[in-house]
Amino acid sequence: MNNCNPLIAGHMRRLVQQYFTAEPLIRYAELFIKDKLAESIRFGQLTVIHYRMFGGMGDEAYEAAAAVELFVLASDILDDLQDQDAPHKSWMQAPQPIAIHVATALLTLSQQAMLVSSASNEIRLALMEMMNTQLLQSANGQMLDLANVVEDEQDYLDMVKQKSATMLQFACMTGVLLAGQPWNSVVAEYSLEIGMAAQIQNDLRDLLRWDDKSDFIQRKRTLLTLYLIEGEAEEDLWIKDYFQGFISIQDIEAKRELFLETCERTGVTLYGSVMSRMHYNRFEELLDTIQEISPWKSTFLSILNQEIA
Amino acid sequence: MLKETIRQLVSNTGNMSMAMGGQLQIAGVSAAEQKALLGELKEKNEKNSGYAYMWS
Repeated sequence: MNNCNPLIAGHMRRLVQQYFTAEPLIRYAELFIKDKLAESIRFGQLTVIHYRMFGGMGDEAYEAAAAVELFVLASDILDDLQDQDAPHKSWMQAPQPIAIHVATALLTLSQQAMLVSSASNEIRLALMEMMNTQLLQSANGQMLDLANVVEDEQDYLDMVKQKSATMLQFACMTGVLLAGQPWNSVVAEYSLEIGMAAQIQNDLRDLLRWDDKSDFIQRKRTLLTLYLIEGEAEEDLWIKDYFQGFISIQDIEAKRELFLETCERTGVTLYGSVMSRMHYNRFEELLDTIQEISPWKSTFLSILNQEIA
Repeated sequence: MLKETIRQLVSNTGNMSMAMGGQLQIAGVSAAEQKALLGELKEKNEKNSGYAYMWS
């Protein structure tokens, strides 16, 4: 599927040239797109493969995939601005008002791109309705995440389903609808499972790091930090104390090795891997229930599991 | 419950070794949880890096 990357990238650039007229907006948008393309465009690839899997034959999938990727880029920019991380990214090096403005312009551009991706009014309407529904769900989830209001495991899983998994659902379902097929409940379910598996893996990575993106240091409530603070062992009480604000970052900054050892000893890393694998297994089971797409299975899995730069 | 099962497993080296070798009956978890847990333990036992699906 990598051979579709230049086509998706070309549409993203062409859309910028077509709809943006202010020179600085074009310049920053192209810069941000270049940065994004250096990483991955797997959401767009998922759109293209679902279009093919469900019988689509034309080139319109690349335009819709560009719409998906423009939205993902805009949300990545806003996410980094909200979290104040990824300092190496071009949008974090640009003046903040400009980065915010370009992100919001890209959001609108993504909707315009989706709107013009099909010649059929019926399909356009279905796409736009699905896009807005999914993205509003994602916005709700993002708000819950930002507010750090997760109380328990079920809250967390609900939040992730809204915030992250709906983005995967959006990318996959765009391909299905663009091919002229109705909403597919199996695709809807398996794309959520992919999203859940991926988010838990990301949480595992962010648990084990020891910098300002560490979920533990940031006292961020995730499936895994909740597991840790639920532990009753006396030797691990410092973790709960830090999380609840009874001790400060200065009190724990020398405890990196102890923290990693605790993660291994308490089983939180095993728990994270098992939970992620469980969602991935469910995705594979669901994938196997759609006979027609079996010829595409290995390509689909290679998109999900590809290394990113 | 999966969390409790994992807490018990990691707190008992003997049980963990048996589970990694597929010789321990794991009760109290769903079939899906058991399948994922056994898959992960098998990879640990074979010294693979474990389940590493990553999408960032």
